[in-house]
Amino acid sequence: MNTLITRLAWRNIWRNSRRTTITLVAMVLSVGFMIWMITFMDGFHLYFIQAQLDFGPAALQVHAEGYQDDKKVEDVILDPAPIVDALRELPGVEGVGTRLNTFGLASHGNASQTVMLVGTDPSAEPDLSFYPEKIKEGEWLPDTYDPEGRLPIVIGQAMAEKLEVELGDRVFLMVQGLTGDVAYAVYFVHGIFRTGINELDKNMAWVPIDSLRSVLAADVERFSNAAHEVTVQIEPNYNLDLFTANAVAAVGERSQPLEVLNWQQMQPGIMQAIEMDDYVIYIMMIIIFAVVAVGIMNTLLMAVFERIREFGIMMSLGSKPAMIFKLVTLESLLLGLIGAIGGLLFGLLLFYINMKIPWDFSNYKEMGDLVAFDYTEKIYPTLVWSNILKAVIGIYIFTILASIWPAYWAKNLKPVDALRHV
Amino acid sequence: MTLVELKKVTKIYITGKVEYEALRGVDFTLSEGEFTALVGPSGSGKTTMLNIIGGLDSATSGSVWFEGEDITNWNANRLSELRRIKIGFIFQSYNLVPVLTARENIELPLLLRNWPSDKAKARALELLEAVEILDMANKRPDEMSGGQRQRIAVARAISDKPALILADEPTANLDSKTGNALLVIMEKLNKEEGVTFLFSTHDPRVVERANKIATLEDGVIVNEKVIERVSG
Repeated sequence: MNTLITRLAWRNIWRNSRRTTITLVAMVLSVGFMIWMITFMDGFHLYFIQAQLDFGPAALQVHAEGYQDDKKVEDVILDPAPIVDALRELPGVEGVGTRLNTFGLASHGNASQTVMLVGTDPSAEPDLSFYPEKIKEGEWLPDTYDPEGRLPIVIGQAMAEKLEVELGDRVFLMVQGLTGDVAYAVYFVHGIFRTGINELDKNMAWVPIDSLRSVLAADVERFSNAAHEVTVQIEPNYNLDLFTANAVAAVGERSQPLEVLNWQQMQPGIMQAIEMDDYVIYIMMIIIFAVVAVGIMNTLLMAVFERIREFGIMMSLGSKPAMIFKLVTLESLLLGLIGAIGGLLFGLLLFYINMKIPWDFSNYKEMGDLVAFDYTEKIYPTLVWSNILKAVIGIYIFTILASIWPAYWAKNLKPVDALRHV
Repeated sequence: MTLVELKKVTKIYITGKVEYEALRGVDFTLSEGEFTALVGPSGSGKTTMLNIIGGLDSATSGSVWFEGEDITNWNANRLSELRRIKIGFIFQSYNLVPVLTARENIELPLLLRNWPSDKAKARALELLEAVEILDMANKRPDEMSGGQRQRIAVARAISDKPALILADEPTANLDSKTGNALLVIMEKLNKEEGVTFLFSTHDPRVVERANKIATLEDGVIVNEKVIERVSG
């Protein structure tokens, strides 16, 4: 019986092929564009996250307890080396390094600029962030340098312009030391980077961590290995939660209380922004699908009204009202299935085209501060199947909902009235 | 044995503020194996009576009995089941499902009665041969003549040999040759298989074959006549 009902439903759908085609085109277009939009937004989110991480905290950091909240310069990890060694052994690790952070004022001649100064291991940093890749003039920090000679510093392009310095020029730094005193140092411009994020290009500066320790800790013995961060980058597709759990276990209990935080914990704002984006997409999805559902309901109602007499025939043959309901619902399900599959294929086609012709944001550089468009000028869509399925299942559910009223109406027809219908 | 019994059945249609009494206290009995013609002028209530017997419509008052059970207040599902198992319908306007082929239209009630699909298909082909339109098996109703459609409707009604076939002016739209051919088939089924027929008709060819004739006028049975026919 089910075969015949399915056959009947299928043929009923194509009875008015023009009307069905129009409805399907609406479904395919809306699902297709929705899927493309989801892949685009997922690609954008991935890019956004990566940009934030590559120019920010990397995937995970270990700090002295409380550093994340207060960022006090004296909250340092006194002995980071064993932690680095422990984390380096974890699966999924791409790079581990230490950083020492402070802030103060950079000046050259009469020009000055506030500075976020980061001391890093020059050889480890390329695995942790994109700064070494973004050098526009000069070079990234050298692995070796003469501690008694010209100390190298890499600064942002905007800072270089503000201070009016060039490669080899001297930059005078006045920063907060680990003991709370003000520390002074002179560095020489070794490289100039440009991220496209004005805030970073204007304020960030990088120096070798050893040199900065000497500057910040003076001769205080206990700060001789100090670092504010043990920074870890992981492989792009490695599960962050799993890695975090492994990192927490690897760090374990130490003589000094520590905190292990992944980027989502350190920068909850990024996730909130993405979640908000997702909500906007969901709302759009619901609106679009509701419009499509009304179209489907209209198609079904028209189809049902045209076939009142047939329902009477089926009832006279002994079809139960539930079977009439099932027939109309099945028609809707088939319509929804074609629309969802067609929409999925159309969406994937748009995705494929978008992969070949990625969105070019080179004309939107002025937005750089907001979304780091200079990070890369092209944004590629990303297929996150769970999100794609939401769109496909969403349209399917809306299609089913759209069929309930017409099906209920048909189910409740009185056989004699239906048979009399002309 | 009594198959159908109507006791003081009335049916009042209300259209806006106008009431129309289609049946006015009909008492009627149909026994198993009868080949009964319900005659009367247009608007006398014949179709209404058939619809009430078939559970397609409900009586305003009175009671309807089928095989000794009072079906007057049965719900839609029970009435559907009754029609599915016990009753076949033949309508004046054929009432075939337009998107199904001739064979599928005949299969439909069989499948509703849970016949296996291969057996339903075989039975449908057998009936198509019996009503002499096997070549139309894969045609849809809109590709057939009126006579061919009515043959499909008859084949569909008798497909599972129901206890009762209600035929509402089945020959009205047919030429005499086709009408006669169908009546022969139905008469044969009545005599050989014992299927009970109740016709609503104006057609004298049906009346000639009937072994009981009930006359309905203005919603009342005014005459009932049993006719003894000598076979051969």
